[in-house]
Amino acid sequence: MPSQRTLLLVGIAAIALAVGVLAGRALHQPPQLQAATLLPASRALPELTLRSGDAELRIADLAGRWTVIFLGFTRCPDVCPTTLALVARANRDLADLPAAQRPRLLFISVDPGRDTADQALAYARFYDPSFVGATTDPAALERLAAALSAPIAIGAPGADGGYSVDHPGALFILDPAARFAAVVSPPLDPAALAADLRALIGG
Amino acid sequence: MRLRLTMVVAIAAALALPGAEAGEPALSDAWIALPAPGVPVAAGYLVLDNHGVAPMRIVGARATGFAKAEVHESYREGDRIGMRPRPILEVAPGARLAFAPGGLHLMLFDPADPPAVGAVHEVALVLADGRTLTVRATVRDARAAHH
Repeated sequence: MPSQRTLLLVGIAAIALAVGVLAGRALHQPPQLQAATLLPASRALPELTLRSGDAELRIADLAGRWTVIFLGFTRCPDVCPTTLALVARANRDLADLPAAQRPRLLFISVDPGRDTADQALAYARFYDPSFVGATTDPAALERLAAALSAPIAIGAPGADGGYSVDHPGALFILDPAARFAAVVSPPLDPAALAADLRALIGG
Repeated sequence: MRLRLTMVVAIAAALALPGAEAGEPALSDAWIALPAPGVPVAAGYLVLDNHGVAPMRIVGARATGFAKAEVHESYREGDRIGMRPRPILEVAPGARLAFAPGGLHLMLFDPADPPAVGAVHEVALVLADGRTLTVRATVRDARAAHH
């Protein structure tokens, strides 16, 4: 028969263990998200090099901050401008966060046949001076699209040489390890997006 | 005397409503989203009211200051976004059709000059019956619209 003292110690240990487990659960609890859906497990992206203006941008370079990726093209008249303006609106909601903590919007053109690295960067910056725009070659785009499970299709050229581009309306969120962690599906609500980014950042 | 004045004012007000006279289709709230510098396409939006008793068929579009204009529609299928041309767009009698971001829009190609906020372009919708509807569309900076 254990002594009273032993029972007391076992009791305290059990309580301490329970508190520890609950505290651990609370700390690792996934954030409550309104618009974003967390992947069951974050995914590493392929080692790719993008071109932004005259600089090279590797996926690995994105580490250190949360990144929001939007795939589009500059000749997109409606969806891309509307989406980037909405993300800019969400970004303004997060202006109270220190710059190094704020999420970074990365616009990647899926139309390298017409968009240069300079054009992609200027296009992104038009919507918010902090936005980054980049291009890459079609093979790298295919690898990136596959890694993001993102449907991209370049249409057949019409009589005048023009063509349409199908691209996802979603936003792809990379965590500070530059791993693909969450998706925000359209329609986009800037307030919900800002709240989710804030929750993910932990700010 | 006052009753007659009231009637005159009421009739004048009714006539002032876009297209209310004779059930003509009407265009209103027309605007063009300022594109990023150097981008050769812009989107135009408007509201179309078919006050008439017959369906309308829009078969083309034009806009001053742009080489070409077409009616397009953005659509979403699950997570993918696409855009399709709408070479023929039917508007039922009595219906209101809104061209708005994320849906129907005019795709305006190759501006003669870089579009400027506040600039006015005349937008025309060409109907199958040969009529042309026109409206003045102002360039707006849609970036500031989401407040």
